[in-house]
Amino acid sequence: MRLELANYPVHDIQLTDHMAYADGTLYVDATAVREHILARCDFDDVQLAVVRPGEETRVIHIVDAVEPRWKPSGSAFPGYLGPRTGAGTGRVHRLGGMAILTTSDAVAGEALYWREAIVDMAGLGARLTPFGGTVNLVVQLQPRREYQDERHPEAASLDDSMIGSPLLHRYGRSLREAQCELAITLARTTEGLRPVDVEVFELTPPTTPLPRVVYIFQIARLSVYGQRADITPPTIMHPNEILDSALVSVQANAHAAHRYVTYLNQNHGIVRELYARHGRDLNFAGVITYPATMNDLNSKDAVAETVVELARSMGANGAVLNYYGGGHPAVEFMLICQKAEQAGIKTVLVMPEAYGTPDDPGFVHYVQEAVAIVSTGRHTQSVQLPAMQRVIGGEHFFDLPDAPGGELKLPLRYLYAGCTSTGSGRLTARQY
Amino acid sequence: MGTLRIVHYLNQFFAGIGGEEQSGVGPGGREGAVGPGVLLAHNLGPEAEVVATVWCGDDYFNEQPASATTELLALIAGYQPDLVIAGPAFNAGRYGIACGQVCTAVQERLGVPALMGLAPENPAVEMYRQQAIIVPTSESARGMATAIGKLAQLGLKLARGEKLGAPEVEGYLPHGLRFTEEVPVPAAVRAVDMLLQRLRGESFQTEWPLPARDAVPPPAPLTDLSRAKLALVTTSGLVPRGNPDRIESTYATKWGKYRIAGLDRMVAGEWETRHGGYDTTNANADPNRILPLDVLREFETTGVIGKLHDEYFVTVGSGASTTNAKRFAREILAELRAAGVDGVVFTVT
Repeated sequence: MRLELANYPVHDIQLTDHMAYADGTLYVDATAVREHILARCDFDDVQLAVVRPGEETRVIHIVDAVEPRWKPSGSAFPGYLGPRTGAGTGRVHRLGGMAILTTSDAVAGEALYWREAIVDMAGLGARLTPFGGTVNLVVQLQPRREYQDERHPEAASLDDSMIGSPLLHRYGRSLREAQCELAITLARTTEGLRPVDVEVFELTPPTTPLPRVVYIFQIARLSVYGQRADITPPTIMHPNEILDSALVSVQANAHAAHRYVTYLNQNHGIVRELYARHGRDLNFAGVITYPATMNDLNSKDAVAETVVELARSMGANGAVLNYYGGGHPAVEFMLICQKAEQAGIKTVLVMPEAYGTPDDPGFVHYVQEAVAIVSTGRHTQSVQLPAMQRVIGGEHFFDLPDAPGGELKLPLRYLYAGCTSTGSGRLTARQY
Repeated sequence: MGTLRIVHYLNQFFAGIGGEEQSGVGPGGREGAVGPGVLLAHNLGPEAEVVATVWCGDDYFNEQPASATTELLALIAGYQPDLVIAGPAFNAGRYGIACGQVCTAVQERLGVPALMGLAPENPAVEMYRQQAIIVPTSESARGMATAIGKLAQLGLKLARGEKLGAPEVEGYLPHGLRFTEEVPVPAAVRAVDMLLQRLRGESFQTEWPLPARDAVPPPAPLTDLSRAKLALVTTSGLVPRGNPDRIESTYATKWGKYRIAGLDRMVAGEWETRHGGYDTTNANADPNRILPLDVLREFETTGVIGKLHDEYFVTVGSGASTTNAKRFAREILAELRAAGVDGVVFTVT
């Protein structure tokens, strides 16, 4: 399986009346984009804005972020938009250094206590989210009024309030399709142009014996090839599938700081790093994904057993594991660590922290085998953000009393993808 | 900049006033260094001066900690210190608590930095580690020279207004608090580096150490139940009606003890449970379900057990911090030992 990521770096975005990519600038036909999204009939309004690093701007109500991609030989979002065929292979055009940030007002039957997500483009906040450093096209979506009608027959939550109402699901699907379609439209502006660089991803067998390393990816609130991944059993994926946008974020009701944003799957830190060391320091033996949504101990144990059996069958000597965050996922995560170590597979755990006091060390669950942990930061930590001149995405926070443009003192968990455990972040936590 | 002014806190013994028989002596102070303060002054060098020594008897302090602290603070403030150094108190419990109380009060009320020396096993470490800077010492005064050297070294930094680095670098006991920090290397690179270190058998450093495992070894079984004195202890929150000691229904900070001498059983309506973590209906309908006095009284009468202690001990487990829970255990155990209790029936909810 050979994937080529052809990079067309974006240093600036201009809203104008035509679509083009030239000399690192992306020109976006704002009217055409608005009309295309409005034609889905799910939105009352669509607004575009460009935000750049260093600008005193705050973006709120973020639902997802995606990197523009276009694949001449197939779908750039395999399984989600169009067929899965060819996923992980061929050449993909990417607009590096930029992101589409999609914001939306809430709809009926949507849990709001974890929904807020903030990106600051200047000050301390800009360093606490990956999107403080990218040039962003913000797409602000206002759902059609029916979606916000609490008396709508589909507004009541399903059994599990975490999953939300059928209305939310319908709206969320349309929103993400609109976002992915726009991502393709933008990247297609590079058709026929020479990329600045091309990265090749291919797991060529190493010529010397090297330790075999697997990446064990805890899946939560994602779709894999368009299917909700939280009910699929543990499975093996080729790392190229992940880099080729097989995973799309489908739920926004989680702490903003540890969400698996679509953009971070497309630019997966752990997958990229294992590739970078492949053939030199290690033999990247593949990715195992498993759902972090089992609610009883026997199911968690069964999932852990299967994951470790897969790792053994792949001949793993070592494994990098990451933890999504939250309560339940900690249990299967630690069980996998324990069973892997018992099977002779050395592990390193990548995980966000919650609490951090002697009264509550912050582990929901741990095993004595968890001796090698990389922290992606403690998201309960209070941070102070300066006031911003401009706010995009909404007029009020969902669950904070503060004025969104003012100086803010809030827990790090509101900063979008600041502690996400896919590994590209530069935060840790240290004991004092 | 003039010479940095240091005030040194000692107990009655190290201040040269007297041993245990003088532990009731109240707060006092004098100019200059006393006892271990002489060594401290030598270690501080020309940059700083021990301008005064302040002391208090261990019993005096622990019998009236609030007023003793206020008196000591008034004395300390009079010497206008840039820094207060307390102890080292090694493994002395009462002295350690006084040091902890003085240091935290000096920081909070005078806005002056403070630090102390304690053995890691000293119970005051658990009580003050979050707020105070504690230099680890040996258990006894045999380690005085090392402890004083370290106190002087870190003390000078604090007195100059410098910020201390991480505890493992500077050599003080961790506060146990974790803070998010920015680092130049992404998590994925750190993770793969750490895994390769493990695979090569090299040493590696976890970024998040597991909590210390606090397993309690089970004691040996009682050999003769018919001669044993038993007590009832519970985390169920069962208290006399009205909850006279106001034990919290969750995140408890206290425990209570109540007389059951002469009672054959717990009578519904006279007792109630205020526990925030379980459905208390059945416990209130028959409190013997969570405090089995009825059965133990029967065992006492028929000679299955020797004797039941005249009081039972209670707190609420729901959400209680391990710090408080450990303190409850220490305090309740002291009472049980003093009463000659051999074993405990411990009902948890």
